Amino acid sequence: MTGPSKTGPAMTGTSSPGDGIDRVGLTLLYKRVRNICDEMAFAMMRTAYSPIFSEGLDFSTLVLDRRGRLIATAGINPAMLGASLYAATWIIREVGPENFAEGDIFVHNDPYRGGSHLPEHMMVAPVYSDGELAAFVGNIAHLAEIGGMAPGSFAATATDIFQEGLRIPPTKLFDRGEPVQDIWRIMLANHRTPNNSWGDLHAMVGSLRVGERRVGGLIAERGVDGLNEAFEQILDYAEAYMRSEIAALPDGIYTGEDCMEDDGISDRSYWIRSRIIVEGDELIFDYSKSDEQAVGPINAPYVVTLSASLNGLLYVLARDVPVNAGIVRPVKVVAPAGTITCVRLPGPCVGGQTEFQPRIMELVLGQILSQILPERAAAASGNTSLNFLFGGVDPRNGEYYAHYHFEGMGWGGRADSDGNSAQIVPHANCRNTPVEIFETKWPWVHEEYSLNDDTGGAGRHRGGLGVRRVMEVEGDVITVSALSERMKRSPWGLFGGHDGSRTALEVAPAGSDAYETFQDAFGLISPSKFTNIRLRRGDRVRITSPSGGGYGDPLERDPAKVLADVELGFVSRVSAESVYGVVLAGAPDDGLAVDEAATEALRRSMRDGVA
Amino acid sequence: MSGSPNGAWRIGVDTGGTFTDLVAVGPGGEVRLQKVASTPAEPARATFEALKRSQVDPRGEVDSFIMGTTIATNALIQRRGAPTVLITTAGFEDVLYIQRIDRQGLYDLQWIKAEPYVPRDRVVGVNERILADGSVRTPLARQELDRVIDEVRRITAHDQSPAVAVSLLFSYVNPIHEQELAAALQEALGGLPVSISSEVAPIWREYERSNTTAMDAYVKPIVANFAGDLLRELELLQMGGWHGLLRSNGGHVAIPDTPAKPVEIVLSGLAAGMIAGAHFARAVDSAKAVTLDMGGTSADVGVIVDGELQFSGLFEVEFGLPLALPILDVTTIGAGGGSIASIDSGGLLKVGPESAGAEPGPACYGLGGEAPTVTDANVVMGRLNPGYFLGGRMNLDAERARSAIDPVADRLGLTPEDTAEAIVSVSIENMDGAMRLVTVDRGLDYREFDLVAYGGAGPLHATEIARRMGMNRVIVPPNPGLVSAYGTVIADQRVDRRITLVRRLDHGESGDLPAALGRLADETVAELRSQLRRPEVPVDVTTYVACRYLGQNYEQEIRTEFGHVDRSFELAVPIGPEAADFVARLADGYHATHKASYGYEMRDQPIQSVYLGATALSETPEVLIRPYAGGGDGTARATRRVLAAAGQWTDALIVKRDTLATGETLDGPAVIEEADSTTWVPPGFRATVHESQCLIIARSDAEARP
Repeated sequence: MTGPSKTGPAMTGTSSPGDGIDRVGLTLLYKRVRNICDEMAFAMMRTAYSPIFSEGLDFSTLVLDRRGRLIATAGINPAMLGASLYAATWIIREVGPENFAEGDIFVHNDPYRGGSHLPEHMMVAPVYSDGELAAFVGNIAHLAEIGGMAPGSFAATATDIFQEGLRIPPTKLFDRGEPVQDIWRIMLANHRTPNNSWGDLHAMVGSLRVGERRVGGLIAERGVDGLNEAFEQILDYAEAYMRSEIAALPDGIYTGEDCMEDDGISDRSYWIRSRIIVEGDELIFDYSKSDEQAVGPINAPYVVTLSASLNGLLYVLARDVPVNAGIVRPVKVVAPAGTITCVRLPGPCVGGQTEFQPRIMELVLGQILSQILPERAAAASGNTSLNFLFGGVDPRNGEYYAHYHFEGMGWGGRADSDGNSAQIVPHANCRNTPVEIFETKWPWVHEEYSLNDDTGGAGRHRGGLGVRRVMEVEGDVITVSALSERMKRSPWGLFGGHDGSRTALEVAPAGSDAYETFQDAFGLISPSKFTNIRLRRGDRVRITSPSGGGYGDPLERDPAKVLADVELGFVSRVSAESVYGVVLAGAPDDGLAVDEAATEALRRSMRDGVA
Repeated sequence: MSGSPNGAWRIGVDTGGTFTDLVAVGPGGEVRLQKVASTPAEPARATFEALKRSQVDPRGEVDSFIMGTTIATNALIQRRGAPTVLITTAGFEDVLYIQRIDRQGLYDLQWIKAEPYVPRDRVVGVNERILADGSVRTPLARQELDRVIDEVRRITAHDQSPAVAVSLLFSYVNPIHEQELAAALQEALGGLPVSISSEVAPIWREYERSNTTAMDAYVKPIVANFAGDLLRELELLQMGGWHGLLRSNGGHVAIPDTPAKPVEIVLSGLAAGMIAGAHFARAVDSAKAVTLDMGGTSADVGVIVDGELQFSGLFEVEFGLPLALPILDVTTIGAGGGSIASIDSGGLLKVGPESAGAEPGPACYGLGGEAPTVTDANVVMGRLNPGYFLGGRMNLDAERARSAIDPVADRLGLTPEDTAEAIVSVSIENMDGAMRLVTVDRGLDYREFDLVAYGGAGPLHATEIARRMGMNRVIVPPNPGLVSAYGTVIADQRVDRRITLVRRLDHGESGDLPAALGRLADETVAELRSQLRRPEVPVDVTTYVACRYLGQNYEQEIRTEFGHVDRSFELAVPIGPEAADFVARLADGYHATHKASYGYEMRDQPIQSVYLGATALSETPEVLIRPYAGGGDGTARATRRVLAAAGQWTDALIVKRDTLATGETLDGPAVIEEADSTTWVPPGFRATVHESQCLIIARSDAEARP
């Protein structure tokens, strides 16, 4: 994909060559700040305890100006964009800039103060130069276990935020370089796996110290004011970049809607209704017509809705723009409090980040912006993080463990290519945990981890396949919970492409091959959202992740591609004929071939049938 | 020491994408250099052409003939490997398709996941299962073996030169099922090459191990053919001495042994340059250095600590296709002379990673390239001499360079000259970022490092990079464009082995660790011994244990001291009480290393070993290369207008490198030209000719260092 052709960016009055801005110097400075974020990220990855940090890379690192505005972030997890923009600012405002001191570190995880959801902890440290506050460094990371009503802290049946885990307003974790022991003790006493939390929190601290040193180097070169002036220009630059991209879109009002299928508490769906208003070089997301907030934890705090909207935009509009506080200036997000798009205290919201955010993001890019930029859009991905949580005592060493597991799925078909199979939900960029690490750490034995054949949404470009994971309980008891989506409504196809397949969470009791859904087996309200189901040794769990939707009419798919799909087993021979209208001749062992005449005839009759 | 041992020729060849370079070092240190166009279709042809031109008599006294080759690299990149079958534990056949589920670009919705080397219809699942502790949950039955053999036979029935890879879950803990499969396949389908993961890469993470094993099988037939061709040709020439290929770990392997584990030569070509970089760093007593090998399309960055190259356990051929073996730690970035400059949507200048490559190349080549490149920028700035490119064998067109830059200059509102300066600056910042990561990711402070710069474009940019990063000295080896071929001449013989062994050091379970390490060292040395060019030479073995705090997922390697070896090789394997002490000392070493890297240690946290490693090394005698005749009479000097910084044109001294004498100094601004490269010495810097014939560039006001 290439960027849109442009005759010149609208630099909002600062673009003339004689404006005194050193553009090359600006590029160089921005790259250096990005490099600092990358260094911070490496330090964190290599010292973290939880696989969701170290294997999953579920974190972000940030450099902020002295007012707490985001200047740069490492390219790790886009889902944290909203919190990156607002959480640090909130800490600074609430604490007061005059109350920081050199060596301090503040921690904060409150979605009612600019955070995304409780598991994501933000840390911020001020950087000083001769006693003058010069900048901040920060990071955000998902801690695997922070207490609350279910191991793994993803309580799908929570009805208020107090059930979701330990909530921390901006709080001093280090005071002038020294740990504030009382705070550490309270935090660790409320987490189920305090050792992991301790290690992960230290990884975050180590990463901040790297950032402090490197930003200190920048200050030494440029001075506090010089650096902050340059930061201002970096923000202006990102703003100009966004404006120039938005200006290229046709003015108008574009709408779309999608829903969360249930909230874990009752069997009703919650609708997100979005209007995108493009006017000149500005753009408004309006979610006012969305449903009221849910009882269960699928609500989004404002920053999640903002994050999702921006991410949807960045995917199709400006994927190379420097991601910082400047990109928000030409964009407004209207999300009234009390709706599912802006939860009101004490509503629960842990699933907003992982389930609601991708839903909005794909609504924006796939259903709405595809109306004006079809060549850059995609059909729906599986579009759930498929959170599966478990905890218990490991019989091998008697220690308590807990894990937050997510699953890859199929991406939607795209204008030029099929959707990728087994890919993390697009609003995140985490990695899976290898089976060999999984089983070394936790008492499960896998029977299968494979692609789910013949499920990709049919289309000119096919949706990618989801995965199937089958594993058996090796401990005496494992307590499991889930928070997922796409069990009642399929990932949608685009431009005539078919829908993808749905999520499934199933269980078979020890010694039996009779799988049934968790919902049937345990009499649950929701098939996709439940907490604290106790499984016993020998019980097996089958997790099936959804496949992506197709893009374009399957009858327009190149028959050679259908043949290749059949040969590789991605599509069955039956579907090749019944869905794609491609007739294959020959036996699998001797080599299949497309029967062109029969294919043409079949496709013609299928089209007529539709007409 | 000067020249070759026994007064015989040592011949090194580096077959790159564009050029094949040969360096032959003869009796008394005589050096012959050849640069010929590569012949990618038959890589051996350019090699023997270069050899012919060098006029070294193959039937005369030849000590060694060693090649760095990209044949395995290219087979992987161009997907020209063998039709391969993969055998996995049943239920996990899709391991190569699932991969790690992340993506390369954050906002790249159009990104296409890497295609596996083994297509899905060539994967066979086998009913067997080994658990994390090595116990057998599902045994591998005889009839299952027969079924798998039938499947493999059916799949490969119409293949030319097929290969088989076997990668079963937890085989790094217990390889028994893989070994049984390999033996059964061998017996039933003799001659079919089989790679098993417990031998190729016995490490955890099933995707990384399976992919590495698949790559090994995939390149096996091609490497075997190539090795066969070389041996036949060498025999025809009646060439004497030792014949080796360079490995990714920087050692070399006898050509006939290469096909046993061909994946080890995937980075053969890159390794050559890094070995030479380390050699020249040692030659100027640089203990800590970053190597920068910058060519037309990319730059390879490596790290030297205590005079030694660093190693890595992971390399990605492309995003999502990891090679998990101990290899020289090299990071390749898309920054070279051919990197293209453009303006992004926000109006800022961007350089690379797109490259004009060798064809059409930079605009100034006049081969049809129209995009402005870093090389064009250097021509416009006067730093590159259009009349002396490749020693005058190719003329650069300065006018084309300028016209290519004009549109960018218009957009920026700068003069073409200042735009050129900006292009070079951005390109330098790209390399700066990569080099910081290469060092910082490994817990190293680049400000303590020298920069060894070579490749055609390295010496042109190195001093600006070092200045920006606050690095120490810049070291430019002789014949920077031929450095990789030097590397093959001086490479050591080396075997690296690694096994996964997860043990808590504070538990009795770590009791078997010292013995396992001892066994690994024995096996590693035995493997090297079996391949030695001269059986009588001494072998050194070093061992290490990778540890982490229990709960962390990344480990750091701790060099262990106990494995001392005397020159006749007797490995002291610690047993009994000594072993207990060993584990305690290992724990101390880990705490200290963690603290040094990340600023803190956690004394009350348990430590866990993850893998053990051993390296057996047989050193090649050093060879001092003196390619320049010297002169130092000040002839052939001139001045040229050069853009030293934005808006600052200045008269720079222009010198031919082979006229410089040892100890001579040059104050910047100066341009030092030679046939295969150009060195830029900015104002405020001074270049000194070291006795090794390296140029050492440092700030003029810095304390003079030898």
